[in-house]
Amino acid sequence: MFAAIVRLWGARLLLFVVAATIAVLLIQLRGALVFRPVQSPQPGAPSLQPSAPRMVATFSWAAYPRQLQTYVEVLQKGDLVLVTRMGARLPFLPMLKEAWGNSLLIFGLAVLIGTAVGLLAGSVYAFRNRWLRSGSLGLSVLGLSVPEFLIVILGQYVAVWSYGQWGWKPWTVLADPATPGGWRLPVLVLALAPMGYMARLTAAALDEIMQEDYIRTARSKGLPEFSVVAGHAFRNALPRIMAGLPSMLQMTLAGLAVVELVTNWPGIAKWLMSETSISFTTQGAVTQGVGPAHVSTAAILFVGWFVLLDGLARTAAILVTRGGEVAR
Amino acid sequence: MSRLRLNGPLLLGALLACALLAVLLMPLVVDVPDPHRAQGTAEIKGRHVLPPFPPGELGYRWGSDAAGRDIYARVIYGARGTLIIVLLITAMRAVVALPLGFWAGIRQGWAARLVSVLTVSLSTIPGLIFIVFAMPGLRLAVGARVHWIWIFCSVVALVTFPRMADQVRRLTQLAARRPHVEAAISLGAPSGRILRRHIVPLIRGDLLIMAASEMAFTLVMLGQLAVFGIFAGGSVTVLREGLPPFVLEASTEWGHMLSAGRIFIQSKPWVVLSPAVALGLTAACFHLLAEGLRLRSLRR
Repeated sequence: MFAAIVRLWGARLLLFVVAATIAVLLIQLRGALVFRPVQSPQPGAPSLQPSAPRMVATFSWAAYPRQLQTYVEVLQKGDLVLVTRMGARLPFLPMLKEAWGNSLLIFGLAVLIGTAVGLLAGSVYAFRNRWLRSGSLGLSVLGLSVPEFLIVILGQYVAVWSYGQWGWKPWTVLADPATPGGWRLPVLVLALAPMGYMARLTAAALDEIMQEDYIRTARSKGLPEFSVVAGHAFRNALPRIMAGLPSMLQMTLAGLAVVELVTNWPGIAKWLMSETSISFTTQGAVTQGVGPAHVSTAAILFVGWFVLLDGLARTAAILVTRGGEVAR
Repeated sequence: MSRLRLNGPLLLGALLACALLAVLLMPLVVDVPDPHRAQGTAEIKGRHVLPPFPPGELGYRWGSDAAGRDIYARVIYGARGTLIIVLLITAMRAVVALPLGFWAGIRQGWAARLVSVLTVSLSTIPGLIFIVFAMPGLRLAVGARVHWIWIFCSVVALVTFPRMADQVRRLTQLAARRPHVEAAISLGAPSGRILRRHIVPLIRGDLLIMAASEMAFTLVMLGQLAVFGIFAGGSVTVLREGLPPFVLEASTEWGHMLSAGRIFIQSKPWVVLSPAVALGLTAACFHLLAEGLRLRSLRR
């Protein structure tokens, strides 16, 4: 078991290096641009910078190695800055660290809530009650099918309506870590996908196990249905459920980007999904705001975070399957 | 009827599938407005307003989009485009994943390890995030040399095929352990014959369940990508005399509609509500079909 865990983490380290490299290579394509003037500005034409030429940017493979080299140099120096529109130069890494903390908050809460509710809903599916089974199935399909932003819109309408009716709102319309309850809407929306996935996974695992002979034996012995499901079926379904944890985490991380964007949560997705903005001065093209370097750095952090979570989930799965015997 | 009632998910999924089929056939049978007919400014209650127009005004059942086009018509016509793209992506994924999964499942050993490594490697970054990283740069690099729809479908299919290949590998390995399959292997039957005569008949129910799940998964991913402005359809730039040009999405595909309307998510939500609900219901249909088929195979 220990050897399997060591091999797992060795592979994770290698995967982090490969995945981060691929992510950086893809993102830096956006910066491999060459700029050329199109035409001189017309005299008297309105312009904020009358002396700046009109420029057009085109992709160039020749510029790509230079782009990569520049980024590697920036990483080595560790002085990545964000240039604002007013020309201020702000250190980027502290901002990224704060954003990551905000993302970790809603991600952690969503995974905990989603997994707990999903396991419960999936376990309910094992009982021979049609309404419980239908409710469980409905919940899992809802979590997996409905687009996140649709739930966010509905949630925002609920908040506005509730405030109008009763002077109270269950969550803020726009997410804000500084406001009490400002995290509730993004957490609830983000928890739907892991809830749906875990419910379906648990239901499928329990459904198969409930056909086994030892379950029939337990029932015929007169054990209450709850004891049969919780004591026998669920324990044997746990390895299969744990094997689905990495997929659940992957799904939730993908949803994190969508939820942060739609609810305006100041997390890491803001930096990952930003588009490069370039302005032109008399000195040439200047990247203002977010550039490929910032997105690449955020991507490295994101990939590292995911690899760590994936490794922890798989370690837990190994410990559950190897550490505990299947009890009958 | 009692059997159907017992399999609620399959029944519900089949009902939704019939509704989807009705939507697909609707333009042939019923008079649906032109989805590309646009309208500029209009007068509502004595005031000149710009699109998007709200539902119930000017004859728009579900409102209009930013160009004044009927959302009801675009959602109906968009069902075809969306399902074609989803089928295309699923088919591309299957074309790569099925042979690889079968081969790894029969050969086992290093072949199975290769498929597992591919699955784990490509799942290191969530598929959605990987696509969002890759698409803007690819768009710049490839430009207009290749039709964008092929690049879009290829990237989405290639990012997610290892997961499907791994599932096929597991199913094939399980089927290969059956006594009659082991007997065929020990008698020296060729791998192709074992696959065709023994393994595929055993797992075709599971493959059907996987196909339905993959369709649902792809639909949800299209909706998520649309939030980031990544979609399969094309767009046109409309040049107007004396006015700045604006970009208009040309296709009625639901992901495209969601992407174009995402700036109105909070101010004019009807622009994205209808395609989002359509996408969600279609994904739910495939999820329910997959669940119903799984229940049916379990009870057999």
